Amino acid sequence: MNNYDYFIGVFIFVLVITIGTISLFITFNNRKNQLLNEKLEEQLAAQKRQHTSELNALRSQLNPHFVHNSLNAIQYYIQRNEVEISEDYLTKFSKLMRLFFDYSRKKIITLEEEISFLVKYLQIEKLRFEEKISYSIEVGSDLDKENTFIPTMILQPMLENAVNHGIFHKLGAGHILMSFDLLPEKNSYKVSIIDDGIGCEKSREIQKNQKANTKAHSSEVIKERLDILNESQEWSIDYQIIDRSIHRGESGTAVYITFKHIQEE
Amino acid sequence: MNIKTIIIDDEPKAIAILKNKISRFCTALDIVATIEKPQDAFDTINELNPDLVFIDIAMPGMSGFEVLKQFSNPNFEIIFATAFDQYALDAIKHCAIGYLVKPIDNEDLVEAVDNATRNIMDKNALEKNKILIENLGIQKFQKKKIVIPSTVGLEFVKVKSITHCEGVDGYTKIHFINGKPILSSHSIGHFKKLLDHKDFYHVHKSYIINMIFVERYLNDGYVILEGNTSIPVARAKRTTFLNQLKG
Repeated sequence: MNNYDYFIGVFIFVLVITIGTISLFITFNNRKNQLLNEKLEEQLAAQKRQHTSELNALRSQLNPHFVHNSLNAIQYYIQRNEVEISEDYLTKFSKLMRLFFDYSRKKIITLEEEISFLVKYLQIEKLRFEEKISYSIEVGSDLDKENTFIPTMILQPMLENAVNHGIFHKLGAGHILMSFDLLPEKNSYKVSIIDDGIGCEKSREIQKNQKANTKAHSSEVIKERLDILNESQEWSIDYQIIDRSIHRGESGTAVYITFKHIQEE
Repeated sequence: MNIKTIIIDDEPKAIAILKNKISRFCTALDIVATIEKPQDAFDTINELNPDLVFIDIAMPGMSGFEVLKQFSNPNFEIIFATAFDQYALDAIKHCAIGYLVKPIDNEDLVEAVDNATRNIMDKNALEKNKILIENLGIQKFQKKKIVIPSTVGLEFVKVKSITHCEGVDGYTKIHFINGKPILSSHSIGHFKKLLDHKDFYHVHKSYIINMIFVERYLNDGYVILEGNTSIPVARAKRTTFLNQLKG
């Protein structure tokens, strides 16, 4: 009898241990799967966000208004039989388009590439606006353009804002000054885009009056893109937009962007 | 017939392009003024009383629409021009007003001017322009009016009064919640573009319905609209249509 009780006891003990282990295992496994799923979902969401933002960036960069207005300006020279200018601008425009497509697929390019891209863009805008627009680009002599990198599709939309919202609505000619300066901190530099147009406050007002339901504003797209770059831990980017009318005797918009490239060790 | 024409565009190049094209392809047009500053348009138009005005949309300080809004009786035919502005183009199309996209295609120009010439003889500019001005102040699509070219002239109807459009032998019959249908000489494709909004669903190759009038959906592929009209839903469209109904 004692033996039987003992057997039952052992049996129950083993049963409890087994059930305990199995349920622990199941709980643990479930939790692990849950965590894995969460992580996967998080990754997917992050990926999706990045893709959407890249798409938006591409859209904001290839502004159809810009494309068609440029072609329209080229049509003008064709009509006037100015063969050389027409050819020159057509090929310049084509080169710019090529760069748009190339760079939209890349994450970073050198400052040298970026600057030459921006100059091409400004040249095409000048074809349309002629004397109404002028620009200058200053690069600090201590900045190594060939070995300093910049994320693609950031500056051009900002520059386009200066042209379309700043200078466009201004009566008379406007100027855009871009400068690139090295900062004391490691791998850091600052880009300024300063125009003497109507200023971002006034431009916002005009836009509000002209269109009731505008789509995502380009500056929102830029902000979203910067957020994602900051999240990636590869860049630390700060930006600031100032309506210059806060200073006496000035007008226009100033955009300051500081880039810090955090290289992986 | 000489058509007194004015061109408004802030870009001298755009004016030059249009003038050149007009001189080659639209000899009936007589350009009496070109205006670079949209702020000058009101006085010049009032002074010269043109039949036709080409108006650029995106201009510094004052858009083409804002130029139009200044007039209480804009009785001139308009052809708008824009490089790209979907919102503006939609608004213009709803009122059956002419438009051109830049760079301007010669054939498009000739067609727009032919239409404008016909409209000038029909004297329907004032009503179309007034509806455009009215629509610009309205956000909700259903509350806007649209202009329907019918077999007898232009009809001005509220979007929310249209229950459905029916394609019949290349024509389109527009049905309303109250009143008789209108027959338009345009195909159903024209109305698909005109009513390009989420409230209008192209359920079948011959039918576009206004979603606000949907009462129920029958599983054999028919949708019942207010007033007990039943409309077939094409097999390929049933799933997406149902999803939109569930919204």
